[in-house]
Amino acid sequence: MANKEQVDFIRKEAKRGKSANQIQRDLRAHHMGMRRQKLLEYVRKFKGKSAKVESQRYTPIKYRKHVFVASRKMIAVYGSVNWQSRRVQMYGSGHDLYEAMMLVSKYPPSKRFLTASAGNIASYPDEYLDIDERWDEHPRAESR
Amino acid sequence: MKGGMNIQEQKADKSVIIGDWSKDTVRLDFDDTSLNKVKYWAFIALKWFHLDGFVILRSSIKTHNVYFKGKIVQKYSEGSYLIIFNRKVKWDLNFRIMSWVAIQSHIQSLKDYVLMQGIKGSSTTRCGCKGEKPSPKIVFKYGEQNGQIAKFLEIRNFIKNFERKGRE
Repeated sequence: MANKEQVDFIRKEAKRGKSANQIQRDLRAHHMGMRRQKLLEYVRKFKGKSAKVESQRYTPIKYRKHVFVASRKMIAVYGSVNWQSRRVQMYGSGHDLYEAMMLVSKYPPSKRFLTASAGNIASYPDEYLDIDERWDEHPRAESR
Repeated sequence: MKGGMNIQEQKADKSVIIGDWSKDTVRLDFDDTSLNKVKYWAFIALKWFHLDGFVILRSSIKTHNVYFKGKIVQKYSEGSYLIIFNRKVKWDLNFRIMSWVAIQSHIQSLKDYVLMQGIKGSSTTRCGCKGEKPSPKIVFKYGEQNGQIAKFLEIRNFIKNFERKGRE
């Protein structure tokens, strides 16, 4: 935690337009050194900037976490059945998502509005989809 | 074979629309609006809410003729455009931004779009084809593109590949 003096000092320096590195140097010179992570949080707050979304990109390669996470995709499939709009919102990745999209683009959902994981739809299509019905030839649903 | 259905025998149907949905991406849908007006509102929202960057996609375009004594004196085009912003936000802020732009711009179709997103509790944009209309094309980019825009483009590629392979 930073004390009041440190916070006031950072606010003053940030208002002057100094960079985080310069502020850190000045803090050290005034014997008020602090953790960089905390300092950056305050600098961002006083400058009104948000943290970078892809923080890994700005981290040196040797400190990066090498964990592969398959990005979860969120896909909506919509159209109409007997002029009534129906919509499936699914999430997942890879083969499950592809299979679920194949099924849903053929068979409409049994409910008018369905949100489910792609894995579940691909594994248990009978529970989520109406096998006896088909989507209308020309979708009436708008692009929203 | 899964759940009694043979996946290999099926082919994707052209009668559905495929899109990308999420709660944390700010999206705006401008129907029948000029590109300049869309850019204007994109920049206003970007500056006002610190949204890092945006991309504008054109989903369709219409050309109108202005006639005078049976002759065309002027042509102007209006299109349907989608804006995707780069910054990740929570749903309440997302809805606040969409509503703010809809109210300020006085565009009825945008107001309808925002209301619909509010009912669903998430925002959606079309990525695939819709009947004869092709998938939306990128027409303008500004600012950072590494956050939600990168995610959106990844999903867009996935959908395009799906449509290409599934509908062959």
